[in-house]
Amino acid sequence: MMGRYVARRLLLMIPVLLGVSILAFYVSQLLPGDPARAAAGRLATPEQLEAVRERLGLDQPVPVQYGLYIGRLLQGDLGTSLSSKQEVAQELRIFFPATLELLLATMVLTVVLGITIGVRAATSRGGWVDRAFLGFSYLGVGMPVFFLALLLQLVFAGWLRILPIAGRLSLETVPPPALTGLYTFDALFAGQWATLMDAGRHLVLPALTLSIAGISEIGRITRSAMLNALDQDYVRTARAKGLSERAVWLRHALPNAMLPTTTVIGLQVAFLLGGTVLIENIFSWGGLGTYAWKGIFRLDIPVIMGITLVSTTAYLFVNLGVDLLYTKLDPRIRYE
Amino acid sequence: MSKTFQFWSPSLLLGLAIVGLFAAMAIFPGLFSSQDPAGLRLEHRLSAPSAANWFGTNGVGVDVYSRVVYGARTTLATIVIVLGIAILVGVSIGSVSGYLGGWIDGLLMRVADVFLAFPPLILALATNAVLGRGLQQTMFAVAFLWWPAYARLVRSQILAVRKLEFVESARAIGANEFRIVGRHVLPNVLDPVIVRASLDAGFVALTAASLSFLGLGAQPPTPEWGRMVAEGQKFLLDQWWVATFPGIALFVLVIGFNLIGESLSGRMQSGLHVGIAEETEGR
Amino acid sequence: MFRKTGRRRAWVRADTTLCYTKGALVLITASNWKFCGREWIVRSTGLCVVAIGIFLLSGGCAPKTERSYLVILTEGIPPTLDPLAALDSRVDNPVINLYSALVQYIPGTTELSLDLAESYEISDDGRQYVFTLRPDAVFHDGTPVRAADVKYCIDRMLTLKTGVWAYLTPVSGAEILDDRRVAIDLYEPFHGLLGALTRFYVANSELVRTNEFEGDLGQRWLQNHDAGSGPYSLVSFQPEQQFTVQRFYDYHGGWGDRHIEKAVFRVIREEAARRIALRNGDADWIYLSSADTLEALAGEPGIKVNRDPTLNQLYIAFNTRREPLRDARVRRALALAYDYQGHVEHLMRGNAEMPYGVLPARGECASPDQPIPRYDLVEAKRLIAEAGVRPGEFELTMAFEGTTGETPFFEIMRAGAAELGIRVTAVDIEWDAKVSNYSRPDSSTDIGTIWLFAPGPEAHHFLYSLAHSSQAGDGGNNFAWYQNPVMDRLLDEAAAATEEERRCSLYRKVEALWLEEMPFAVSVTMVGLSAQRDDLKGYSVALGHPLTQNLYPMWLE
Repeated sequence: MMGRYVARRLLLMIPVLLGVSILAFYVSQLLPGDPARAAAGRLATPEQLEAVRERLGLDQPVPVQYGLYIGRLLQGDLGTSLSSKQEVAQELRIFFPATLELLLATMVLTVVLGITIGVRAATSRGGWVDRAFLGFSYLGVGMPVFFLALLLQLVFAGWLRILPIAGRLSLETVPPPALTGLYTFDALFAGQWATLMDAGRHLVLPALTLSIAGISEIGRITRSAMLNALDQDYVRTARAKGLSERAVWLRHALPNAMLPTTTVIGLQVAFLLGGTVLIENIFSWGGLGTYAWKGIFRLDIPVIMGITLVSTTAYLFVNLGVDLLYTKLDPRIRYE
Repeated sequence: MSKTFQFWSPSLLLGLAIVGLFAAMAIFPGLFSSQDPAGLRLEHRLSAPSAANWFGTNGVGVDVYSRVVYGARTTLATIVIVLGIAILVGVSIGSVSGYLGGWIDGLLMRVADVFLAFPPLILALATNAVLGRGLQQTMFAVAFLWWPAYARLVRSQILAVRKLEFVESARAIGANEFRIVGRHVLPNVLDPVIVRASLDAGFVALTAASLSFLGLGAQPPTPEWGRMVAEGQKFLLDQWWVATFPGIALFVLVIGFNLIGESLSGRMQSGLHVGIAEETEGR
Repeated sequence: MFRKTGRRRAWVRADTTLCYTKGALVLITASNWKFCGREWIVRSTGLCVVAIGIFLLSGGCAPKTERSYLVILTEGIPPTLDPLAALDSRVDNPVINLYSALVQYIPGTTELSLDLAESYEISDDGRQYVFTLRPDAVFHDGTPVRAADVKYCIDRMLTLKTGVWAYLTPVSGAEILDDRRVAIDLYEPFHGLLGALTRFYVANSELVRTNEFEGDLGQRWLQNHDAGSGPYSLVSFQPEQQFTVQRFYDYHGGWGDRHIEKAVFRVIREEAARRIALRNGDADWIYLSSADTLEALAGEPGIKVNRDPTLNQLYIAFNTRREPLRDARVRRALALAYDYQGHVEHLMRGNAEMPYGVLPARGECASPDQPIPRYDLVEAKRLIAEAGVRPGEFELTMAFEGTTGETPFFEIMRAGAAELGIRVTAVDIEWDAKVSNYSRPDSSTDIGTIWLFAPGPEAHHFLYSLAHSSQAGDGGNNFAWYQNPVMDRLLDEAAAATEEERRCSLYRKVEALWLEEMPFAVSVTMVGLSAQRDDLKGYSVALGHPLTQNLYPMWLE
């Protein structure tokens, strides 16, 4: 049953992916600049230009070019960056771990703190925690990410000097032996505690900045969901059975409140994929966000397309994952 | 919406006051500031906030306060145009889709799905790269992000309303299709659109400001808060005022819109119901 | 060569006892969670998070080790390590350390000395230079530097026709005379050849040939690999992040007692971050683009700021093919509407210089009796009126690089043009895209900034590459699309003139014509700004290699 659902969803994803690729291809055609000239070099002779044009298939009709494009995509060939002359797929692999580390840290912070605070706010039922949180959540949702990042930099790195201002590691710290590319994990596996702490300290400001909005959203949803759940029949039954308040909250109300929270987590990922471009810019992070921004500024068509396709595909799979999680959490929901 | 919902809540009033203030700044900037937001005075660059320059001056000597005031116009214009385009396109597509149904509906909704599949800022960035840098280009790029949501919203509303009895009876009496749409369908459809728009306004401002912060949006010397924060970034440690005041302005405006939006959607008081309906829409 | 790393606030410095106490706190909290069961999840998680937070905020458990290498922070990462691309100062920076050239400037001066060549001869007609290579120069993999390598690099340059070829256009080819002697041939005599050759680095031809990819002449491989014979070899290169170089023991120049063993060049785009790193002792030398930061750092103890003279000259190009810029009067008017003094005194807080005529003051043939660019709105308005331009009639686009801090230049030009009734709109664009735009007349903007980073003081580098008609389009620097056969002739003659007196008199004529036609407004000369630890010695700016840090002469006290 579940398998069929997954299969169906994956099949449905195909037209969307096709559509995304068409859009991406169309956009790449619109971008100014001549890809043949860019690939051949500024001072290429007309013959060299022709040769490059033929090699890249640029003299073919557009549908054929699209076909070639899809063919290359399926083989994992995302083209070559115009500015660095390296393969885009290769560069994405290099820059990916940094972003993954940042996103994981942010998601952990968001989910853990968001749910914790949401539950706490709900259980305090109008107490100071609740009011403080509601006030904070307004600020959290409305605060521009880039502004918050600069403020935190100014306060913690500029005035108080207790956190680093930018980068993934201190200048004198040697990166741990590369396993996953995530400095925290790699340092953990290698037993390099100092490096682990250093990497952790550098993660604080960027992850915190990105997670504030998420904590506010998730906290709110969790709180609302909890408050709602607590009014339901099954909770009354549980109470009648003599379970402690805490047990009621944690074993009955919370799991059911997880449903809407899960949805919001999926949406958070969308926000994060964009937010990471801003944060990596401000904190000199050196991940996909930096790569994307550089590509856009240099009008590096293959890079822009590569980033767009990869992030969109990732987002689609995350959504699928969230939906599957949904079914796990609520046995009442059946998908045929 | 829950029974305890009250229309003129304090948060709604506060929100309206905030937005109203900025709207006034946008429409009558001269009332708020007498200085030229593009007037270069190199000898006064990077002066601290003082009686002459309430928010200090920036890197080329322009008064930051006046740039913040005139920046309100840029931001609000962006919101109006982006949401205007998004709503127009979204409502049109959604209406056609919902009303005609069939393969057109399927196709249009697949197209909407494609746009919704992109992580928001990435789509805006890619589109901006195509269209080039500038305020107008940014507005179009950002509008791309929003129309699918409105299309979906309108479509589901239309699907729901179509089946309602009074529409059937109106048709039975032989009333004109357009009249049915105009008098019965549209009013029901527009309500959630307005609510959604008020919730979105803040996010539109943030997205546009983010693009400008990255350098893609408004170009100098047009005052735009996101860009001003970026310009102030290099002076952050010593001349904090250049980046801080525009950021605060943006922040306050977004909160204002959020207050309005949340009050209208009744999310805060009633909790889940409207929220869940929107989130699970179209899944 | 061990360094003491900088000061930190006492209460955040790593301290073993404090560290273990914190560790214990975390453990206790975690065990609390385990022992008290899931009911305490919420509270314990909160405590855990707080404890971890404190732990992280106050630094790691290990004491700070002293750094054994130099850290240099720059603003731009080299897009490639290919020596052919060393036209770009971002590339020249690593390359000057990794590679050697036939001749090189003595650090801190514009005097030439021999590097890979131990002698040279110039033919009578000035069209052939024969270089004899020194026998002891080796590449980093041990192979000796031979004439074949020079020829390969010349051929490569002439095939790809990019990068430093722009400085060496008169070169027609090279011939191997024997193992250590190579001849470089020219189309016509070029007095600036030796100066230009300081940018022509010799790469290991065997190595490059082995690593070619689809006939690209090694461009892809050289993007992140080292094929040089310079005093330092590449240890690692992380794209967009940093690169590390290590002393090359067999360097033909030899090593004294005091030298830099290892250096990391790291890119941190935010100047505030660089500044904090310097202050904390995490960096030894930082590049500064803002005069405000320099002045803020000038008084700090332990820090020395550098205000280095350079040959980097800012020009503002007026597209001579567009209305109303076709009229030289309009161009002259716009040149008079730029507030040069404001730029130097207020924007750069005195850290910039004014040129003499159309050349920087340190350029060859420049002298104080040449007119210094003026800001004169009255004269400008007169010229505009004379040219018949009505206020509000025209709107011009201006290209500039916001990412390297050129936005204020745009603002100054815009404000000036506004006084004349001409509207100027912004086109914020990176260098590569700007060059690409200016490659074709239809995509060029009306006005554009261009910093000329000359490889030497010869006037040719400035004036030829800007005003000669052959340099318009296709990646050339003639952003003004200026075409004047008289100017071309003067520039060609001057390039071939081997006697300084004749050359300078020709350049005077060029300048007179230039000031009449004003294809480019001549703005300020850059003063190189940087800050460093005051115990770092031997840093000297090479006028011919702007924005580079030549490690070889440096050491730490």
